[in-house]
Amino acid sequence: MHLTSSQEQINLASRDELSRFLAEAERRAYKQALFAVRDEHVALDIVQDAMLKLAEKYAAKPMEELPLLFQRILQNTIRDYYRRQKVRSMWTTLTSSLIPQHEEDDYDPLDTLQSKDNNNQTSAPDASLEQLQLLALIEKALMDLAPRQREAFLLRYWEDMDTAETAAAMGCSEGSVKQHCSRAIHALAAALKAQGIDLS
Amino acid sequence: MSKKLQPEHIRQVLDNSLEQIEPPVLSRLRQAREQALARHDAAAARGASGWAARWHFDTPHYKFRYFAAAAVFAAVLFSGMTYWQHVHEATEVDVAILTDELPIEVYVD
Repeated sequence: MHLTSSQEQINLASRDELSRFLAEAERRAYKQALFAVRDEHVALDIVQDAMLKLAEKYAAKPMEELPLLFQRILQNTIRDYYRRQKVRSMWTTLTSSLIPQHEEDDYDPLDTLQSKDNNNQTSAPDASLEQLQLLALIEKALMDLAPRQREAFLLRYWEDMDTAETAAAMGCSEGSVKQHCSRAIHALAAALKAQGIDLS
Repeated sequence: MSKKLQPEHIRQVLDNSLEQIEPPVLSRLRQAREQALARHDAAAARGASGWAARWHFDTPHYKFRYFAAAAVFAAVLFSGMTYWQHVHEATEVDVAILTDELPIEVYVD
């Protein structure tokens, strides 16, 4: 009887830890997925899949391991989505040549943000507007990065992982992480410079 | 817009953007989290029933299964020995026929 109650206490504690961790990680995970797939609903599905996998298979792991495991699951789920998209687009190309292949190039998050800004133009302060524009530019630049570069950059500089952790989450060597990060920073700097912003 | 931007500023801007996520998205994220926690509870319950199953293996019910398995093994062993004995006797008769040394009882049967 004593064993059962202590077992329950352990389970409850890990459940609370998992709940806290997911609550802290979910927004950033959503944004990461959104940068990668550019679709709100798909991004939410990806985050949900990653959460379910973590809760079902790895929740018994120590708390310190959860961030890295979750990132690894999230990145794998995003890559699975890319693979499915690749197969789907291959079949689409084979079956119909009428559908344009690079529809997503026309997508510009500035369009949606600008329309919102226009609606709230009278109430929003200038600083806030400038911040929104800056955010839109950075998000656009991040979305335009190559997937592995974006993955490395976000894990390294947003999730604050070191090179070894980033390499473990991405399933590659530390050298590759450094290379991806370096290229990402150069690409971001070039993209932002074109908009009049110096990334130094 | 012409300004200098450090990589840390990108991080800061992205962190600020988390506050601008719309309520419907936050609601779906909360639902996803609750589903994940429910899945965690189910997995924990399965783990507990696994313990119960392992404990159950030591109960008298499983002792009976051990006994039944031992009985089947003994029966197979006995059958094998009987068959081997029968074959051995038949071989002895065959040898006796070939060497014309059959005992008189064989003809009586």
